[in-house]
Amino acid sequence: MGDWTSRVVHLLNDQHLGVVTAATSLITTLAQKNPEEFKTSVSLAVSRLSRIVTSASTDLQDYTYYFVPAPWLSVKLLRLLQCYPPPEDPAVRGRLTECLETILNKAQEPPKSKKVQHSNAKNAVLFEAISLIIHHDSEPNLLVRACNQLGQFLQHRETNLRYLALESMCTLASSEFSHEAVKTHIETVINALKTERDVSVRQRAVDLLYAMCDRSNAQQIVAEMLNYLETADYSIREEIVLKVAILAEKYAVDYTWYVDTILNLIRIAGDYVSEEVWYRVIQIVINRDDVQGYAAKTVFEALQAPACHENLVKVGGYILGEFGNLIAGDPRSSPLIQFNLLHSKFHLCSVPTRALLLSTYIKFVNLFPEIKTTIQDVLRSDSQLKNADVELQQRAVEYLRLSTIASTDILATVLEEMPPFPERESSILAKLKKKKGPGTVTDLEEIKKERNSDMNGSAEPAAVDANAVRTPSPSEDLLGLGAAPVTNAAPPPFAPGNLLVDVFADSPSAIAPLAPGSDDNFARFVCKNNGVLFENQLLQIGLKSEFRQNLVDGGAQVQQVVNIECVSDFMEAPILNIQFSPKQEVQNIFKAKHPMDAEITKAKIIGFGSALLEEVDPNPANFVGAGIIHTKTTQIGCLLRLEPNLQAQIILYTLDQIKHASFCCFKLVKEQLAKRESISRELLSADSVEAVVITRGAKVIVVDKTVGINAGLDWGEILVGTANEDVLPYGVDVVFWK
Amino acid sequence: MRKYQKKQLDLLKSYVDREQEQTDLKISRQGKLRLQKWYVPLSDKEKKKITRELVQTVLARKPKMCSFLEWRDLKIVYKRYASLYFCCAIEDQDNELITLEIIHRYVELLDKYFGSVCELDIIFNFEKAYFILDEFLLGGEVQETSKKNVLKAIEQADLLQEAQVMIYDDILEDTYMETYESYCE
Repeated sequence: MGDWTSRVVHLLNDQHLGVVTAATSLITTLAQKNPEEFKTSVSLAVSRLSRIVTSASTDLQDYTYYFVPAPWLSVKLLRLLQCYPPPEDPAVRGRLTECLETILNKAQEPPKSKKVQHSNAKNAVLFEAISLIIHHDSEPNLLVRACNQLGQFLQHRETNLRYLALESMCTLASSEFSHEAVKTHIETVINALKTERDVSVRQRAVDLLYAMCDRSNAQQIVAEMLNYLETADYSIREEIVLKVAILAEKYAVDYTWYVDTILNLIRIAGDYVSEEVWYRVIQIVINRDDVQGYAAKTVFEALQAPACHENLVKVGGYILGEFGNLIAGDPRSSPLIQFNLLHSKFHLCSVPTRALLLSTYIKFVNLFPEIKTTIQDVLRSDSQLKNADVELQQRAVEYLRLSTIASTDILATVLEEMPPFPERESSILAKLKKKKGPGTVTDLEEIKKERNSDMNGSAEPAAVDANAVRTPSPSEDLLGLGAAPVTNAAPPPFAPGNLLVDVFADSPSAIAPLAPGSDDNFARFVCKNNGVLFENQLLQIGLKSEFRQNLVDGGAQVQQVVNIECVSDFMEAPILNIQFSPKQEVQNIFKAKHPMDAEITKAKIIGFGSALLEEVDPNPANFVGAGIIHTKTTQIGCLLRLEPNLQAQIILYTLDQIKHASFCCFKLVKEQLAKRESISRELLSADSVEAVVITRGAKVIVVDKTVGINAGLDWGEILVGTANEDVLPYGVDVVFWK
Repeated sequence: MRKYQKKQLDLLKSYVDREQEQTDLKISRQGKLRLQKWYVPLSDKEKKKITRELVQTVLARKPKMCSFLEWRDLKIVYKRYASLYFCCAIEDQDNELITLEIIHRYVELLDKYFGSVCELDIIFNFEKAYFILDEFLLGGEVQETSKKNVLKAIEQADLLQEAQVMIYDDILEDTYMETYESYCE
């Protein structure tokens, strides 16, 4: 090719414009295959282009088309230039910029002819120039000008120009220089969405809204898209549904809004809500504690509508099955009412939905033993047990048996709350990409995603993964519960997690059992999520903590849920298996003794989480608790230890940046509620504890004044803070005051 | 003698090449295809299928709608002139407005050549329409934008064609004379 290259490139300088036109086509194709070889054509193309653009209309004679000089050739040259990055040579670059500016200027001049051909040709060159500007993405001035020009076209009389303007703006929206400028036109675009008669123009408007969406206008845009969805063309509904779902998830500051949006989506366009969308909302609800109660409530209300879409029944069934207990306290959403509500939709649903509902029923049996017989009757009915569909029949039979023969413990273990899903890329995005094909707006999405990824406050997850320190216990049967996995699943994103590991010089890996001081082990515990807490010949307490990601609004109180599983091997004392979940039946408490001072130092350095431990072994009276408070800014650890015997103090160690009041939240099992009082008394015996609050969800909240004061919060605020919805969704049960 | 001779109703499709255009169709208002040119190789069956779909889509458009639409992964640019729709299928990155002007330029060429062209001209002289198209577009790209040059080229081709006819006539006459003479002998 070498010989020919220079000769071909030289053709660009030919006198005859027909030759130049043909040559440009040739060079463009060759340059796409072999850009390096044809680099020399860039400068020639630029000079040719500028000569054309600045020529008077009589110069080019027959090549002038309705007063536009050589439009086709100009467009071709601009296309050729798009194969290359901005020219490095400043002279060439300057000339090109000048040329582009001339084209932009010409667009502002009054037209030389009334004919549509004139304006079409002129605008064709203009749009191609804008494409080039976008492609180069290096001159902010030009980009802004281009954006303004397009903004003018948005309201042009001609539909074609509006269409093209919307399309070009879509690509502009992804460039960082012009993103802001594009956003200023949001009202025009929304207007276009509502008033355009041509469906293809409306579709472009939707695409543009999607491209220009960011945190500041997400709510508005999603609302507009939902509005549009109600009247949209059927062929494009699925795409819009996917886009709304993606936007809602990405820019959700408040996840209740996200849940609302998805439920709205299902209500408006249920048929087009693909599985990925509602899988995703379930994943998110399960991973975020703060929105579980709200989701249960909303779904419950939505289900009460007389005609609700099957997808809503699926989502509702699943969420109520997992979190129905959160709203069971309210008499309007008592267990029986929930069950009847779901069951009323049962016969309207398809087989997969019914299968899901059957699973929900057995979860209800576990959650709400009081309606067990009702549910069993349903399961026992012939229409289930002898159902024509094998899956349904099997489920009915098995669940019925399970509910009959399993003890409450086993049932609770089997039907334990779903552990959080590992964070993974939304499958919705993948589906949208597949739908639209490559090289579309979704790729811009990727670029934006990278830029925005830190906005959601998710730092890289400290991969503190399962260093399973568990030594299997010989008394396996007692740990039938122990077998139930306390998942150290989702490496949750929390930045100081790294700190967690770093501070201790000790290896963060699995601990070799150490006989001496529990402090060491405790320390290790501090530096890992799981590990051996205490061990001697009789006893080994291993600990695994599970953290969840919490995105917390300022001022909100966060509750720490800690699941702890202790494996221990011993002879005398009962084994405590602490499972923190509302359904758990059994809680044994270990008392562990830990020297205090060491803890203070260590705890001061770092935050960690633990749980209530009472261990029989060394010191019957002590018990230790600790919790990790996840707050918006940092993970704050606090160690709470109660040693009632020693006139204990509840010590809340809070670390470095205490910005919010910390409190520990423990969920006790319902069976152990009788113990609440005694525990509360003990907790209260500490000096700085002001109150112990027991919620209807059987949570115990210890409120410590010192912490509050340290954080600059008033006592009243603490209590009020704890009483906010996120923490005490359904009311306070008992408050033990000092 | 021309490979473009086909049945009246089944005229060639213009399917412009991947570079720029993919398809060029001229469709009458009743949905009859008058001209077609393809610039990518496709099987006959596929061509028919695509034609059918495109025709349906374009004819369904209302008058005030914009001239561009998306179809599969291509863009369709169409314009209506009297009773004929002219459609071009172009690739995603191509400039739509300039394609509109290509269509217009082609119509102008036909107009100049036939003198106030109408659908009947195209029906009865379809091969000329194709010649003009080939002079104007090559492999899907615009090769000559000057109206004068294109028409000049067509004129020359016409002259050549007539000259050839005359030569053929002469040859025929000679052959006839020979045969006659041989009979006489």
